[in-house]
Amino acid sequence: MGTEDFNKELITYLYDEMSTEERQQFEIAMENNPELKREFENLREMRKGLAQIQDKEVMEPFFLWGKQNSDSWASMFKRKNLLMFKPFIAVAASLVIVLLIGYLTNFTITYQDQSLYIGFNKTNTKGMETTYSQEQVAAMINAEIAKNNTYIFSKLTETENNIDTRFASLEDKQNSQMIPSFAASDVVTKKELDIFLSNVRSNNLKVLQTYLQSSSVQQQDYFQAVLTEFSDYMENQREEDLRLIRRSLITLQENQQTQKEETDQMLASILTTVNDQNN
Amino acid sequence: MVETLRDIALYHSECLVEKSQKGDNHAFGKLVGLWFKRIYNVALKYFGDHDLAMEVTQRTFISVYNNLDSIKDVKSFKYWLYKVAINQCHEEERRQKRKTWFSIFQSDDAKRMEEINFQPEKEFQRKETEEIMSNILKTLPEEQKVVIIMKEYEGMKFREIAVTLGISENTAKSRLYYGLKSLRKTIENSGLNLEYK
Repeated sequence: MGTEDFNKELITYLYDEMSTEERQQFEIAMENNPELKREFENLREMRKGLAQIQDKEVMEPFFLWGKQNSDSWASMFKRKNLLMFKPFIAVAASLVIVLLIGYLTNFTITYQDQSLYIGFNKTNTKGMETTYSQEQVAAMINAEIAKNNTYIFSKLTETENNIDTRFASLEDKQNSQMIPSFAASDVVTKKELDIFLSNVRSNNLKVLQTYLQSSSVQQQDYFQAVLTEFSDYMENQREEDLRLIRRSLITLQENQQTQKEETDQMLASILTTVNDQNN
Repeated sequence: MVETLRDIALYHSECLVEKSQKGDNHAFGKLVGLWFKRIYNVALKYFGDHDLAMEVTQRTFISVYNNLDSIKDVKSFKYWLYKVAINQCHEEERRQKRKTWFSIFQSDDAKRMEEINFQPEKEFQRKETEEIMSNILKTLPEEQKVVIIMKEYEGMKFREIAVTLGISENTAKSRLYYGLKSLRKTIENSGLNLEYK
């Protein structure tokens, strides 16, 4: 057996790839050949040295499993680092741009007195729809009631005048009816006078009752109308506020989307440039 | 017929390769996850450098992805994968040599080897045995280094190494023998007195 063959046998034995028979024969040969044994020991020592190098733990890169084809896979590997951070970079860049624009335009969103203000520049509450505090609403209601009272009072006065007029005319009429009898007799008895006064009183009472009933119904209708109008007004104002907020949020979302798309385009442009330079 | 964990892993790899060939990218992702650490460690032992090892590993899987259809027999996937990885190591080494040639200064690795050769005691005190062995392994000729890595760290049989590298078993054994001898010689010349646990 030549030296070369011996070396191969030695290696096969060292890595335990011999059959049982071959191993026994080789061990016998090694016992008889101290130089071969020393060589074996040296190689075994070297293997111990190599065993000092341990495997290292490593994480495979994060890949996106979207629309893949050969090119996208390759480019994905090449751009792995950027791709890993692309979503975060895009979000961060969008955020920075939005904040910057917000800062430059004095974009403000404030919540105060149960009201949400969204606007640019300094908050100008003059131009905004004013909202009312509880005291203001109470004052408005009181003012409306006072106005209503004035109206009722004027109506009452008017009605009273009408009643007076009608009463006067009725009295004249009755007088004209009674006067002939009085005139015929020229003497008014106490009984006739009592009957006359009793009629007058009962008529007055009926008129007053009618007036009060009519007035009460009118006042009730008016007050209901005022409350209904006020309720409608508040409802409309609330809807208008909500519409304004919704519109503002949609605009904000559109701006963010635009900024994100622009950032993506910029990143894609940078990647293309870098790839071109590398190629 | 699968028997050992290693066989199960290989069988799993073969299934994943078949699925990947049919366009299942999720399966390819699993395949990468299964083999990434092994290929990374082969490259790491080849170069002794994390960044280069990562670069080679990723290039390997790009190549695997692009050439999945060329695998006719999925049972040979393991050998084919190692072959791709070794080729990528060779290419990367050539790239590094070109860079070094154009560079005015020596690479860090070359400097490190000089330190080992000329200041062994100092180096030994400063570095762990593992790092020294790793650096010495890097100095071996490519063909010997590859066989040592495949045999010592990947646990491949000589037959498997021969299939992977397209050489005979005897050539593989011969390269391994001279590789180990060369390592020992380098250590002796460096004056290092390594004690292994």
